[in-house]
Amino acid sequence: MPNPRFDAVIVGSGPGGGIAAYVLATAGLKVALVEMGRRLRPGADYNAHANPYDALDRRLSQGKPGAISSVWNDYSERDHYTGVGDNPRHGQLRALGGRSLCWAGHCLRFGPLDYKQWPISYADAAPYYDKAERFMQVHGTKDGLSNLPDGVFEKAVPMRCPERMLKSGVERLKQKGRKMEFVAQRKAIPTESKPGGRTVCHYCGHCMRGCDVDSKYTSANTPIPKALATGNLKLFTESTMTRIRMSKDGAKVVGIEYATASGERLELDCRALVLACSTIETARQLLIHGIGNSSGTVGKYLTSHFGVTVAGLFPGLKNRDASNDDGTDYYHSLLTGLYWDKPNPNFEGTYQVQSGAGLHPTKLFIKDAPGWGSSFKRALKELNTIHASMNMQGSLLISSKKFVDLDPAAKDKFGLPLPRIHLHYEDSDLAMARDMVATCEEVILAAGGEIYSRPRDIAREGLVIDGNHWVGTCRMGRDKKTSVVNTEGQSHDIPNLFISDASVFAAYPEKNPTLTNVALSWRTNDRIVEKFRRREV
Amino acid sequence: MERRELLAILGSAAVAAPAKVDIANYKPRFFSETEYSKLDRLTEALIPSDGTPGAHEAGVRYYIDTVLHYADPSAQRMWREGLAKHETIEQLAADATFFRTFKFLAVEAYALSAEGQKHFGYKGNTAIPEFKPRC
Repeated sequence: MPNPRFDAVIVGSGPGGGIAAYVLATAGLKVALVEMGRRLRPGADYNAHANPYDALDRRLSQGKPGAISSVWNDYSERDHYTGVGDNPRHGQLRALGGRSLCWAGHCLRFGPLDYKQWPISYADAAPYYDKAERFMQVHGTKDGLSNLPDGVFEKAVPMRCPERMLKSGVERLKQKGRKMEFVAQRKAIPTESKPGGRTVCHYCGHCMRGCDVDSKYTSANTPIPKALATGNLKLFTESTMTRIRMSKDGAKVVGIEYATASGERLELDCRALVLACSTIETARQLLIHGIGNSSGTVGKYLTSHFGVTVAGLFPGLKNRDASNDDGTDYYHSLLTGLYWDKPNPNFEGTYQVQSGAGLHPTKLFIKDAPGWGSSFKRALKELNTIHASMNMQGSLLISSKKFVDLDPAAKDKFGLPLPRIHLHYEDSDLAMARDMVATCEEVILAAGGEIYSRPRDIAREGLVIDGNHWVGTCRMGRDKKTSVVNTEGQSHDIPNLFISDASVFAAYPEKNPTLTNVALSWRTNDRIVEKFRRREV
Repeated sequence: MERRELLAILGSAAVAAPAKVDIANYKPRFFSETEYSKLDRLTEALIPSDGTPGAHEAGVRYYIDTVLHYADPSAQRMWREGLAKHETIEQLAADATFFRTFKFLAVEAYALSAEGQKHFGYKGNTAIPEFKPRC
C-alpha cells in the first residue's frame, strides 16, 4: 500500500505547529499534523477546580504530584535531554497543543528596537502581530510605549492593590528621571464575548495549570479545531517522528517515518516538511539527520530567559479585600521600559519584571512566619494579603558557551541521541540579575513598602533558567553561511524544509516568546502557501 | 457574563469529580493511631482554632498522612523520626530543620482546605463575571 501523501507534514503541535496547521489547512493544502502526545480533555484530564482534599488520594495513587492537577506536572517529560553546566532545564508537554497548554498567556510584542538585531523589521512583523492578537483574543491596555507596541486588545484586566502600589513606586522614580514603566499584563485570555470566540475568562487563576474551560488560548482549542473544520487536516496523535526521509540525492525531503503508540513504524509522504518541534528538539532533529546545517550553526545562538525573585510588603494594605484576587493567574502586571534607549554599561540586553499578588491557596507566596499559634496564623494571612512579588525575566547573553548538540552516549527509546544542552552563565548575566534586585528594591521602597525577601547573593547556582523559553538554535538570516533559515523560515539548504517555531529567533529581547512565535509562524506558513500557489514546492 | 454561562463553567468542573473524603472516619495509612493523634495535636498547636477554624477542623492530619503514605522513604523517615522526638510545639520549634518542613506541609494542607480558606477570607477558585479589585 502506498504511503499516505500530503502537501505538508507538520511535526509538533505547540504554538508554532498549531498555527501552521491552521494557516495551511485554511488555504486548502492537505496537511498532516504529527504529535507525540494525545488529546487531553479540559475539565477531565485536567481539572484545577476539583476539591484538593477529595482529589489528593486519587492523584497521588496515580503517581501525579500534588493535590491539584497541572498539565505541566502531569503530562510533561522532563528528562529527555542531558544538561551541561549551570543546571539547564528542558521539558516537553506530551499532548496535543504541546506547551501552549501550560503557558501563562503573556503576549508582549517585540518592539522596533528589538528588531534592529533581526534580519526583518518590526514593520514586517506588525501585520502578523495584529492577526495573531485578534486570533488569540489578547486582552490588554494601550500604554503607548516605544518598544512594547500596543496591539489589538480586548478589555484589560486590572492590577491588584499591591501591584498598584508598585506602580505608584515606579511613577515616583520616573519623576526623578528614571526610565521605567509599569503596566498591566497582556494575555491571550478573552475578556469579551465574540462570535466564534472562546469562553470568556471566569477569573479562577488556574491558567498555567491548564484552563478547565478553554478560555486561555492553546493550539488545541483554537487553530487545530479550526483547521480540522476545513476537512484538510489529518491528526496523527501519539505519533513520534523517528526519521526525516530525504530524496536519493539528499536535495529535498520526501516524507517522514514515525512510530505509533504501539511502536509500529509507518511513513508519510509530503511535498513540504514543517518542523515545529521546539527550539531544542528541532535543532536535535537537524543534527541527528545532518541536514540543513551547511552553516554549522544549528544548535548555536541558544538563549532563554532567566531570573530571580524579590518580594515586598505594603503594611498599609492590611485591611484590603483580598478575598478573590485570583484573576488571570498570579502575574497581572509588568515592570518594563528598562534600558531600552540607553543600555546599562554592566551588561548586555535588558530584563522585565512580572509582578503579582494575592491569596490563591495553590500559590500562597509566604508559607512561613515566626513562631506558632494564633500570632503565626494571623501573620500568614496578613503577610500574604500585603505582599507583592517581582520576578525577573532577563534575556541571557548569546555566547559560544550556550548551545545544543547531541549526547554521544544517551539515547531515547528509539535509539536516537538525546539533545545535550550547554548553559554557562556569563558575568554579564550575573550583572543583570544584580541590577534587577537593586531596581526592584528601589521600586518597593519608593512605593512605601518594605523588602520581604531577596536573594542574599547573586551566584550562578541561585539563578533559575526558564526551561520553556528557549529560543535560537536555527536562527533566521540573510546569509546562508551564518544562519539556518531565511527570513521566511525556509531552510537555506533544503527548499522544501521549513521551521515554524521559536528556534528561528535571530535575537531575544526580555519579552515572552509565544506571541512572536505565533506571529512569525503565521508569516512563514503564508509564504509556504504562496510557494505552493506558484508551484515552487 | 450571564449567570447561565457561569453555571455552565462551574458544572464543567464537576466532570469526573472524586468522591468526598470522610476525614472523621479516616484510618491513618502511614502513621500509627498514636502518631496520628500527636500529629493532630501538634498541627492544631501550630494553627489553633481561635475564632477561625484551626488545623483539626481543616483536616490537616488527613492531608499529611496521605501525602506521606505516597512519599519517598527519606521524607517518611524524616517525619516519623521528627514526630517521635517532640511532645510539644515548643520542643518542635527548637528543631529548626524539621519545624520548617512541618510548617510548610501543614500550611499547604491548611490553605487548601475549605475550613482554612475561611481563615484567609478566601472566596476564589470560583466563577466571577468581572475582575474588579477594590483598593
